[in-house]
Amino acid sequence: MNKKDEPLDDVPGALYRALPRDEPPPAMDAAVLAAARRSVAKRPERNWAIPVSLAAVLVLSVGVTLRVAEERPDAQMKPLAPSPAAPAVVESAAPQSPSPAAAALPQAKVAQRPSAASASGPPMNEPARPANAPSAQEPNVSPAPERKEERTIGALSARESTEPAPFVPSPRADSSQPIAPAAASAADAAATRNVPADRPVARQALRAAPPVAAESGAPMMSRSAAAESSVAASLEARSPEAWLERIAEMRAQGRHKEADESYAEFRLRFPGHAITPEILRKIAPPR
Amino acid sequence: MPPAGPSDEQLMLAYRGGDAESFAALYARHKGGLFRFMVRSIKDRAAAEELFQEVWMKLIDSRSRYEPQAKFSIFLYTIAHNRMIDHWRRRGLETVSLDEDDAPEPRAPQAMQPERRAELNRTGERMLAAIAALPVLQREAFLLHEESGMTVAEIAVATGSDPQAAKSCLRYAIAKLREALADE
Repeated sequence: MNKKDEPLDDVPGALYRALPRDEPPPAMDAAVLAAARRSVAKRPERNWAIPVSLAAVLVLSVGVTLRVAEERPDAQMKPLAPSPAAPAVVESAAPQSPSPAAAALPQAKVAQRPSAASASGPPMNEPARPANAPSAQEPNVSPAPERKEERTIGALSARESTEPAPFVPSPRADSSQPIAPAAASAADAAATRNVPADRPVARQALRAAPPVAAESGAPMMSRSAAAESSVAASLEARSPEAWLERIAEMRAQGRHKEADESYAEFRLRFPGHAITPEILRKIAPPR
Repeated sequence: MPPAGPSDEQLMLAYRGGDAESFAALYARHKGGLFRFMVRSIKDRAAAEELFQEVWMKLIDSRSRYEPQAKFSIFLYTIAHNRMIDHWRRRGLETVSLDEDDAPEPRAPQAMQPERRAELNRTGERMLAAIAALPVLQREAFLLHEESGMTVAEIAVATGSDPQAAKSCLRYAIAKLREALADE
């Protein structure tokens, strides 16, 4: 029942199709087509607004997350201390001023050097640095150009760093002489530069850090960060009294050089901590 | 004969997806037929042009809701039919009933009066006059049949009427046109 199935009388149709073929005016064509294009042109704005917004939020979120993940180990950095193997013996009640024996203990010499943290953003070691231990108090800083390199975590990290070779304080052979630990903490030193092989602070850092296989496929920054976190955690667990007890043990065992350095670190970490005369006698260097 | 290339429905779907060129192709296919359908249905050319533009604007606005459930031409001419109904209502006019029995006898068009026949010495003009003299629904059915190639069933869908009534409208329209032309 359509035009094909049931042909109608086609005479009027043929006559109609012979009529002039009126068309809309060109101006109307242009108006309609312009409206159609305008309607399509609006569409991408609506379609892209939400995906672009979501993508921007996603990118920002990932960026902030990565940034926080990078900075978190730095915020936990603390100055390096002796091995956490010391017994937890707590000393109490102490005089406010140190005794002559304490005054005789060597003062720490702080390596005044640019740190990797200061070069890469917020100072990663700033929270661990004592407020009253500015680098100006430790003038005895000398470069160590002939230092033998030790392949350590710090060395691994130093290879990643683009900063120039840092200053490294000269260690003294004599255990009674002032030592030169890094005031910015040994962890900082271990993480950012080559450390002399005979430097106890570096060895302590290595002891505190978990063993790292150089052949491991893990990223170097991850290994370094893990070591720093471990060091920081061990330091956090140490009380001043236990630390002093550990120093006393070193004295008793004749490890005077290590004891001197550990005490210097202790003073940097706890500059106002009062020490009882009894402990002072234990930790004072032999005369 | 169907047009070469993508179908009307494919073009409309492409336009729904944002392809303005598809709309241009679609417009080129249907603008002439729709324009003639409206001009010859309404007889007021200015009003017909306005309605013609409104139909396309309506189509543009509704493109996001377009679904190819029927032929595109039915979709397009349904919009046109509804626009014309609104136009007649605004003008206080009414379409005749679809029931042919209730349809009034077409008044003899002025062009067909004996005193004017001499003026319509051309077949085309006589044909146009005869179309203009048809009742609204018969004229619409005939124009839909000729301009868009719709079948009776499709005319029924486009005009919202019963297929039988649409068939009657078309038959009556053709019969009256033949009669009007034979009068000459």
